[in-house]
Amino acid sequence: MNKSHPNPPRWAHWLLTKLHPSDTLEEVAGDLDELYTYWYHRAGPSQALLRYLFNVASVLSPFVRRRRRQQTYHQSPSILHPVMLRNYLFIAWRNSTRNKLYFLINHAGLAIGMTACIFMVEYANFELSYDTFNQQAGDLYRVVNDRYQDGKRVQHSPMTYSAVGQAMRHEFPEVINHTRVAPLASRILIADDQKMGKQNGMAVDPSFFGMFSYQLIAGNRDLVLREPDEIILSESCARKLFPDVGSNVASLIGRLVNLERSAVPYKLTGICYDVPDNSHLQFDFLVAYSSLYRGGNRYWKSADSSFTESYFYHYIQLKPGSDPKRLEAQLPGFSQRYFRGNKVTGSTEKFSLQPLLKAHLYSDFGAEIGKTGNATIVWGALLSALLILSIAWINYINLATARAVERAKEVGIRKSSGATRTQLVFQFFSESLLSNFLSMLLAAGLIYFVQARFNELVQRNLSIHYVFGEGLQSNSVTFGLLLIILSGICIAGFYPALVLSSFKPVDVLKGKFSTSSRGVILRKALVSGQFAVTIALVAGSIIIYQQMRYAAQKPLGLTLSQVLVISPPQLLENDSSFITRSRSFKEELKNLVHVKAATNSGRIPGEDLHRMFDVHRPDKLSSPRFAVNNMSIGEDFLDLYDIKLLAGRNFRSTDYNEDLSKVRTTLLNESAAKLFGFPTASEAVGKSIILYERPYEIVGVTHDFHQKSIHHPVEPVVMMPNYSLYNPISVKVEPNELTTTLAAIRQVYDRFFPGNVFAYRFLDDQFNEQYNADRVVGKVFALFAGLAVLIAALGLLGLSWLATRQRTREIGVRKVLGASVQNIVLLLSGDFLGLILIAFLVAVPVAWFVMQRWLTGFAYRISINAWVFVAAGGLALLIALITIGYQTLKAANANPVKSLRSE
Amino acid sequence: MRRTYLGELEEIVLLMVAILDGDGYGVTISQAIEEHTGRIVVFGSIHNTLIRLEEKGFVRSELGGATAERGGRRKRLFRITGLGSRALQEIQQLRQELWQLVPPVSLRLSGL
Repeated sequence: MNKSHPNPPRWAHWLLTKLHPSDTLEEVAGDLDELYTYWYHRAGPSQALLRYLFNVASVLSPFVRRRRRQQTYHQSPSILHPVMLRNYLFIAWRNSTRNKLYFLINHAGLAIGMTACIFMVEYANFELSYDTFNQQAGDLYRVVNDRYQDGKRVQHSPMTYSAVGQAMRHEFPEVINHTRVAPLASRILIADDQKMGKQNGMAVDPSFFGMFSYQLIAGNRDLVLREPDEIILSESCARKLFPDVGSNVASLIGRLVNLERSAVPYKLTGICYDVPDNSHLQFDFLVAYSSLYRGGNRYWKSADSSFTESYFYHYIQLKPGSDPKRLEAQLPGFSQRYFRGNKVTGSTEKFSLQPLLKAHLYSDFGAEIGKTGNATIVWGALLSALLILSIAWINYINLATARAVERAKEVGIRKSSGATRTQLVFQFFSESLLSNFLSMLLAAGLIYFVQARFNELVQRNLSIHYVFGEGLQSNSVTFGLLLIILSGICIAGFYPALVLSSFKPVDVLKGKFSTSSRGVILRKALVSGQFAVTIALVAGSIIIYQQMRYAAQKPLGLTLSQVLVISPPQLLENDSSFITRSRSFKEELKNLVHVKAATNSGRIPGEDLHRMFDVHRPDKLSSPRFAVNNMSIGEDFLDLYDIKLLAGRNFRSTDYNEDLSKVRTTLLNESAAKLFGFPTASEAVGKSIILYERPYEIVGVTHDFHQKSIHHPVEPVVMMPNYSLYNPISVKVEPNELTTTLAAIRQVYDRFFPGNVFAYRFLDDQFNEQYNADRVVGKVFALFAGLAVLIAALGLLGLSWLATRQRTREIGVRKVLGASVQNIVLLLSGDFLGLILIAFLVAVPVAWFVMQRWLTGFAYRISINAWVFVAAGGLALLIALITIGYQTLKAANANPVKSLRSE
Repeated sequence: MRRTYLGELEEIVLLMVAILDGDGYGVTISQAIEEHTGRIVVFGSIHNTLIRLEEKGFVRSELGGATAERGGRRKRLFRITGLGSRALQEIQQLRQELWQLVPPVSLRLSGL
């Protein structure tokens, strides 16, 4: 070692090179070496080493101060400096006004996409908000009762036996509350002289108000409905029933209300606010549940605690924090204890719990009492809206990057006059932010003007409140939307900003600029994605349309047109002469000029039928038990509805009897005959079946007919010869002079049933209401498909416009060298057509899968035809050709001299 | 004009730069401080202070004067700027003015 130039340890020096900023490393390392030598000579090697190490440590990374880059010559202003901001705004404005087409495509697309998205979030939020206004919603469950016979599920419904809730509460400590609900549909309320028909109510236990959060305007929610013959009206119902009440509805408390033929009037003890739209239970009035079996109006003994009659709904409340799965696991044992297999009811009862919050969107039940929606549709619609928005963003990204060529010069000049990359990124990003903001404003305007139309379309009373409203419990969707919109804006803004700001000024200004192949591939992938979405949506809406047309055209086995349904005289007292009275009323109607036929029936087409369990054949030993639907019909029913007999005869008037126990005959439909095991229809005729523990003779077998929409399979139906004054009356009329006919019918009605409320509906309208939800879906999807086509076409238009503009010279050279117009058109459009092919291949399986799932909601459905996809793909292709066609033809036909002259 | 604040070490380092008159760099400055004040200041503090002084515009620097002793590395030589000397003079003047205000008695008494 050289004594005059001692060296400090290598590793310390190495540490220094690693952890000291590189721009001051040279001078610092030199200084430290020099100091080391100095100390070495003054204080010896160990002192020198110690000090050296100490000093090295003092200039390592966290302690040392970094030298800032010297900016003596040019200091670029901050990107937030007002001068720069003004410049960015000015450039953004100039760019957008220079390229009006570009501007329009971007903003129209984005605004439409955002509008669609916000509408769909409104819709989804509304659907998801069902029953969330109940403060204890998380602990409320609905009891679901499935029935099995011979291992086959014969019923899937929340309808169950009246004793079940009480028994559950008794058995399971976690069930802290329960209420029974018995629907009282389409009743007449009478107060003083005022009569109101078609009011829907429910009989509920007093615990109802302890579990649900429906608010009372007047009355004590802890005390109401405790006594029988108490009634609560909704505010609007009360105002209609007592028109002269004025502002203070609370003053009505204590008034008397009759419910149809109630023996004792109900006492009004409460008035509730109208039920919110987003409640799956909808009611105009509530009566004390106990009125069903005690008090002055008792008519239904088994409503209290029966394990055999099943017309009741149960809601239970669990102790907060208890596990519903654990409770459900104990339900098979519960069923065994109370129903002893199929000994009690003739079928095996299986119970499960449905959370209240799922009651609206996840109902595939029969005999449903709540308003139902469809979760698949909600999420599907939301997804489609997002896809549309992403199509618009893709347009933005594509056009911005494709336009990079034009803006490259701007970038080059900015860079060479000192702009840093951060500044450029900020500039382009703020431009896209501005665009998005502008589109948002446009969207806000659009929402304001189109909201009403959209509400009409989806048949909901929606508003922007459902997106940003306070107290909305399903805010996660809104949050998700904001997140997606924000990230979309960021991606759509940052990607082009990064691309644009990456150009090397020297290359650009030399003119050696070309777009990177990676960028082009991405752009192509995005265009494919757009068209895939478009094709899928178009195919989807065609399939929905086809299924709807199928539903409208499918022979139902009965004729619904020109049938009026008159509500029965619900206010009339029943007596033993009801058959004669009904018959003579019918005869009187038939005598009217334009009335072709009239009949009564327990149910009309479109309504749920009663179910009977424990039906069997007498002639087979230990015959299996069957579950069937049952319907009582008048002797004109089959003729009026055009239901054909397969074998045997129709009911005769002698089959009817005031005393139901003397009725001995029945009609089956084909499915029922098959279910009972008769090989042919004619073999069933003359045989008996056991209903209500009595034999009935089968007098005839009818063709199958659709009692409900084609969502539901045709079920076995047993028809009984039965009259009731309270059955609806179907009247077949001729289409001409309908008003006179109606007036005449009304006159007869009023003569026969004075004091009753005459109301009618056309049966086909009523029946087709079952397709309302499907029609909304169809319209929404068609709308979305249209929007997707529009936005994608706009994007393509912009892209092809840019492409032809950028290739003007190439086209010129090609033409000079002898290319024909066709060659050039092919050259320019070939790219895009290939992309659409790829999009087609992506879209078909996805659309097929999703639509297949939608179709499983129908018991009778079309099979998806290949041509649907061909048509959707063809449409996309056609639209693409039209949008590109004009641009390419113009470019191909242009005079090459013009395009080449400028060089 | 608001007087730029100078910390105690900053003032001493700045003075040393002025004293060394163009020959001041990390080594000479730390040696001078040790020599004139008896304080041993860790090198990192001097380095940081010099950078801070340069940022404030009190000194300017250039690279040069490589020697074999330093393994051929250049030094960063510091020179005081007009602003720096103004700052030093202002501090000096301020001190002087303050000295004038001290009543002689108080110093004498405390000195006793």
